[in-house]
Amino acid sequence: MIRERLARTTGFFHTRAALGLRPATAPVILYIPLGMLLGPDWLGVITVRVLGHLDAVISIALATLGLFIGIAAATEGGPRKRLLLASTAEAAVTLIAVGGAILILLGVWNLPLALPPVVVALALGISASTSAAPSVDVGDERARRIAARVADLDDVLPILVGSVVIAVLGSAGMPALLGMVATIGIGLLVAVAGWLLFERAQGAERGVFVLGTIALLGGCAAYLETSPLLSGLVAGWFWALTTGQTDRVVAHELRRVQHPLVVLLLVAAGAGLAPSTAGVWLFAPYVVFRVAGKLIGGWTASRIAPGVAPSDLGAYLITPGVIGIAFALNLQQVAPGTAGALVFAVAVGAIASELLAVLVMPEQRPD
Amino acid sequence: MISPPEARRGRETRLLLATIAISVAVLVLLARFRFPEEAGRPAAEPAPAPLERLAARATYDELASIMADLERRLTPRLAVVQIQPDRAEGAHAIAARMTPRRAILLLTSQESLAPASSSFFPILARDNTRDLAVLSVPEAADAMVTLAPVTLRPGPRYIAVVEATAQGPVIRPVYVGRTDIFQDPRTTSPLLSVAALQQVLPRGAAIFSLAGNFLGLAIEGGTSATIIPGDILYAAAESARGVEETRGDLGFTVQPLTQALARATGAERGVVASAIHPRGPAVDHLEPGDVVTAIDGTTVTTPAGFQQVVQSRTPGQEATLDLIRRGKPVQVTVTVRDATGVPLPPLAGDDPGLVLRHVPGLGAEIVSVRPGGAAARAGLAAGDIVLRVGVRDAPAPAALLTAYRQAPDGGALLLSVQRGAEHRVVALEK
Repeated sequence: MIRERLARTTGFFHTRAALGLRPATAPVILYIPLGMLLGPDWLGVITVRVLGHLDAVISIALATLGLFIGIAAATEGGPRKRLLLASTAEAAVTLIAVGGAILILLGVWNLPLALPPVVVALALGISASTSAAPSVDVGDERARRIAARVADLDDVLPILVGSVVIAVLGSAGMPALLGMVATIGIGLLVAVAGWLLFERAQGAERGVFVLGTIALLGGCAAYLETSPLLSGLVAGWFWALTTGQTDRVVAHELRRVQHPLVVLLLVAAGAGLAPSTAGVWLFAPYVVFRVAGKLIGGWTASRIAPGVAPSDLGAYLITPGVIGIAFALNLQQVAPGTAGALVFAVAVGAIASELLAVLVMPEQRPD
Repeated sequence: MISPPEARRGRETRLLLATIAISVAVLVLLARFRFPEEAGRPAAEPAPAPLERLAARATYDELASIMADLERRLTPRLAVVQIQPDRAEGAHAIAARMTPRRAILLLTSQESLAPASSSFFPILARDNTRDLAVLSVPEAADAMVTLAPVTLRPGPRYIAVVEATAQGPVIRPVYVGRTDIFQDPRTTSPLLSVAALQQVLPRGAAIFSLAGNFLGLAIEGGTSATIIPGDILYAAAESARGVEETRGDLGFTVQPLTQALARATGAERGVVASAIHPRGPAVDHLEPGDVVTAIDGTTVTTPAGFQQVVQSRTPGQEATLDLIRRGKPVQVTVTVRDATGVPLPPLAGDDPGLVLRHVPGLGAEIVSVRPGGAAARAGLAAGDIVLRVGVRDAPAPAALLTAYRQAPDGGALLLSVQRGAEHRVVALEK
């Protein structure tokens, strides 16, 4: 009993790594506070100027995350369409729960925000709907496996909807539709180029090609103020569906930079956090309705893809996804100076959700 | 007897309903709160926009990021010079590059440049009425300040204030209250007045919008500062231009896009081509009434901005113009010519540089103003209507030009001018 309680209290240090990899130290809990500590408001190791320079690297990190989701969607979602459908339904329920509640509250509160309330509500809904694989090593193995797959695949819908938001706000002055076409076009073009390159290259040369391709994906999207997440997702999806080993080659090569990029993303998010009254007001409903959305979404998903008890699936999915924070950062890149409160609510909300995930644990009941 | 799976389903359903019920309850509870800034306000009072905007002030990090970006963009467009004697604000002053080879700064008649600065940036002209000096700076075609359209924007907002130090330009955000436009006898165009909140605007500082557009120079500092707008400064720098320079010209004049013209042309922004020089490079490409929206991708919104962009182009090169012609976007390419070489014939001493048309019963409407002419120096602009010349009401164009010709050299003609809904008296010096 004491061991179990101890495991629970220290559980948040042993949460999953990003993107459904093997469980590792909880990145959100560790690196966002670290970023805050190193940021301009505290120690000042990461200055505002450095944060500006990190923008390009963040875009590359976003493209990398999107790429992994794309590969996962193509490999997992293809043969297991019900699972992809269940994940999408779960994400949609959370998006509607959080977005709807925030929209109602913003209408009542008269919160002073630079972005339109609809955009803020939608952005928070998108960030809330992403999940990560189960963070606590409890529960039935099969249930955890299903939950991990749902958590991986429920990022697809937020990336797609988020790309529309980014295209409307950014797109470097282009019409939103053209921005979306550019986002997908960049992903496909770079994917075709990569597909032609990777199969023929070997060793270190191949590694350079892969890294260069990812840099191109992120760089193009950043320049055009489109979503690197969607460009990466399209490229990953393309590589997974085409013949050959491209997806495995990319996944293998990127494994070396994946963790540093995620760490960098979270540290940058922490360093750039600007506490504001509006951010604090958004934080509480974000966390509360995210939990509610995940529990209701988990119930919906388990109806479509049975195998885990509905309440357990919801409890597993409370763990926040890095994609949510990544999207908030992307939004801040295309609408600088206006998304500060939103990033604060999402980042601090992610830490709170991570802690809640330890408290609201599944009860190990097979469906 | 209830089977275990049914009992489990029942429990799950109850959990789901409980979650939904709690969520709705929390939503209702949270909706009872109000944001503090709004809570203390009487319900009957109309929503004061300034307070809302104060609550929405950008955070430190956001501002710091914007300032870092502005510093990078603006530093090449500014020059720091040393002046003597020292001002209360320090021994350095900031000069804004208005043309590729001209910068302008605030310099009173009692002040001069220190030898180290004057040898590097020789003074080309001084305007002791407005305390301005035009400097010659090393040529840099792409390093000029971008002029902001002078629009009245009431309500609090941030502006970027650039001051001069021995180390170079220093930029900082200043939160200002309402911005007003007012007439000043020293200038024919209106000046700006801004009230800084809890901060002091130093005299001589260069003022920019957060988008990086040049608003002007602070000619009077303090918490309530007076700013001389960028278009006046540009005109001053322009009139001091030396004949040795080459500068671009496209062979047509422009006028502002008024709301009526915008409706008629279908353009949202830009400047309207008012007259095409018959021997100019644009004669086969442009028509009067075309709206120029951009030159080589650079958006133009004011005649001064148009002149600035055109004159920064190298003669002989081609310039791509984005136009709105009869409501449709058109792109034309025009070869830039040397404005100091061919272009318009020099103005005769008795030519004020005006193209006029008769408005029966009112007077003479200005169709275009020749840069560098007496009319341009007087601040007259296309669209102005001259209602009275001397003692003559509703003068025909010929009467106005005759009166100017008959005026003694060194004298001035008093014009009563209507610009929009505003009336003013202008001295047209000969």
